[in-house]
Amino acid sequence: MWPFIARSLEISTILLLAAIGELLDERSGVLNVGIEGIMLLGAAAGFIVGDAVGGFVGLLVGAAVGGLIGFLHGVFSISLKVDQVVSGMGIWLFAMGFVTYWADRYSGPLDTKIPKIYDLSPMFPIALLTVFLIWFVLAKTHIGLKIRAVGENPFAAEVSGVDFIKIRYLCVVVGGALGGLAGASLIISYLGAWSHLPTKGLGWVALALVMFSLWRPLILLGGSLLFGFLWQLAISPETIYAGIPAPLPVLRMIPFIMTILFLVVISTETFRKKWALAKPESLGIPFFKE
Amino acid sequence: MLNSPQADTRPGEVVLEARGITKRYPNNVVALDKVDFQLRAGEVHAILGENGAGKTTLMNILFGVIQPDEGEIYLYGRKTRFKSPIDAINMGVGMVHQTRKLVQAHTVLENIILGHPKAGRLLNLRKVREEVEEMCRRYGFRIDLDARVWQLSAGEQEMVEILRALYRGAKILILDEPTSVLTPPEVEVLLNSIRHMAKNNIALIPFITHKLPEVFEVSDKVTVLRRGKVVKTINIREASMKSLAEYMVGREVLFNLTNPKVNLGREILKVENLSALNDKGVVALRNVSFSVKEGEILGIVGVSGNGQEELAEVLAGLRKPASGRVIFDGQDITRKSVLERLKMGIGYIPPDRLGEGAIGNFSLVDNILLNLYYDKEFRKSIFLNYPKIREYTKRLVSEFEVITPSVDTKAAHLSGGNLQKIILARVIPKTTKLLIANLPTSGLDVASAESVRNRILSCKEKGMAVILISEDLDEALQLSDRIAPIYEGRIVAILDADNVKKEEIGAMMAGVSQ
Repeated sequence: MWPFIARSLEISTILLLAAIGELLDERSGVLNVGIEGIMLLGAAAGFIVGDAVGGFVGLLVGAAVGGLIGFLHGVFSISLKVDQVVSGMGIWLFAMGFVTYWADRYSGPLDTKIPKIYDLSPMFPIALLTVFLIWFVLAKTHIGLKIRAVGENPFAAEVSGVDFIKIRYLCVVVGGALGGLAGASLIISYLGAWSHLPTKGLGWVALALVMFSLWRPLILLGGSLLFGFLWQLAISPETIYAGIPAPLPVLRMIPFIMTILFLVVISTETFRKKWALAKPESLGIPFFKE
Repeated sequence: MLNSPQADTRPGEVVLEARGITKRYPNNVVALDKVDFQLRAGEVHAILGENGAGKTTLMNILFGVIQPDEGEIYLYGRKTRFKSPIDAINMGVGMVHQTRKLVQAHTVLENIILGHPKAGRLLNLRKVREEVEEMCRRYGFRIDLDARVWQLSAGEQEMVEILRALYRGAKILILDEPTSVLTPPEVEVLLNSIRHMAKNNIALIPFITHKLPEVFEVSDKVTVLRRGKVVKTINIREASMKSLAEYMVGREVLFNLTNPKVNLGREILKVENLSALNDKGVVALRNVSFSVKEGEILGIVGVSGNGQEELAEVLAGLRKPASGRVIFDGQDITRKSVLERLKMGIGYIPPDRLGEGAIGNFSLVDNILLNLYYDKEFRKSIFLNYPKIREYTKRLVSEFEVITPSVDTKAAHLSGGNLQKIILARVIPKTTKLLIANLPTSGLDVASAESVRNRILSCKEKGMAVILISEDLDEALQLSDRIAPIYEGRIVAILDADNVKKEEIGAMMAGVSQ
């Protein structure tokens, strides 16, 4: 039982890191749909460096690569005012091609691994801490208020003396770094070996979780734990219930069936209203000065 | 950080002085031409001008948004340059924007303290709350600091903008069209707080285009701009409404509209229990009933968004009612199309001139044609009779005194006033029985607005029934025979415009009394 729970917490860790970064991005008004791509690049960099130098360095380099790509997204969508979805999609497409070319020649398990505590990756408590830290920053600090204000109405922030460009860059870089870290920890502390495009859509799930969480870190935490459990259940149901009566293909469908159910729930009238209220008002809109 | 040379300002001391400010734009337009301006502590010094007179440019220069090409600004006697709005704020100049720059989803307090160093790294809301409350007491503001901004009325949001500027230590406050979207009771509150601020030695510069009467209530001095030049700086005691309007326009303006009594004829329009939804599918108009007779103007007055827009669209046939009936000249027209209504003699003046009123990229001839194409007189079998339409347009242009290079000019190149004249010229001659005028003077300068009002009165004299929808209570009272304040989709009352108190209607518009 515990190994199963530990594995699903590790999947939750990856979702959590990626999603909390994306949440920070979006609270400042920048949508980054390229989160899957950032995770892929972080995973590849983490894998190659981790293999050559060591697990912890691999994680750091993964995060650094993620931050760099986040910065690139900032240059496109903040400074050059490119449509944020286009820029994000570009990052994803670039990452898929580049990572295939760059990392697919490596194979086999990683030699260096992160030591586990009670069979659980230390990345889990780190992810938890990050979520609480970001919640605290957004809710209790002045810079958090600035971030939220920039996401709602950059014009209002500007006349209050807030340098919204700096705030948005800060958020995309930190958000990207968390995405890269998510990818690196997927490889280094969960999979332990490279496979073709290893993220398998986890980035997209993270993106959906942010929307579903109404941009609140604590709801996001709950959602990530639930989806981590479902994801692991689809991969190794036998560890939780040997001789489970349902055939494997059906179990494999569970996360996706749940996604459809979620979509049904969030398209109801009540949820849509809440959603519209919670959504950062200028999310996805590049800032144009009058 | 905040400088505080202003802390020891004495009343009457010159705090801000602009000398010879000139600004040219790339297309060789001189927006400001050697403008001089002097502001004293505790003074309310209004700047008046029509659209395009250079008010916005001057405001942007005083707030550091743009830089002047020539001229100097002196703050407390020292030569200064405002490199950016932040710079201006730090030197004690505040600005209250016409389009509100507030975070709608945040609380009032959060909006006031946002970005201010005093709030600290970790938000110490208790300490700043006390300061803001103390400030509210001093200047006589009453506002719930924990309310979210989207829950507030336009007037309250303006208070938040003022408080935000004051909290940043503003001693000079620029107000951009401060009363333009407020209800009459809110205007009273605002004027009161302006008096309070002036008493506390804060200098205020309201920029005003349309609402002249309010200038008189609080200002000490007025500077009138016209075509980028200062026409006159005058003490308010020596000025009159008429003289100010003439300085603005540059020629005589007739303010003595006479509202003749016309003998009422048949009942032209009768509306029974009309309800309608707005674009979001929410009920916007609830059970409205009224009637209008020939030779009568019914004024429907309310703050924007209270259902008057939907009412006008239902009457013009642009929006399907949810329930109720519209009876025109004894005939049920509830289900009739826009075209059928046009042919029956119903004219509609839409509120948004370039959106619904005219097509900007069409010439005047084509815009006039939009209301004529169905008319056999302007057709030759299946073809349009262009020579005749041009002829007709030329006649209208001279009759309605439209200033335009030619009838082939694009509508978008006309000024607001001239464009509105074209729209009136298109609608009025073809309208025989009922004219629906939705915000006919909004955004127009003083002179154009007067001429539009005159046209509407002459429609009534010709015996048409007129429904005037307005957000300007003074205008509605001036033109209407009967007046109907509308609030949250309901007509609160229908009153005789001759013996009604302005305050009473103002309260009804704000939903205060029944």
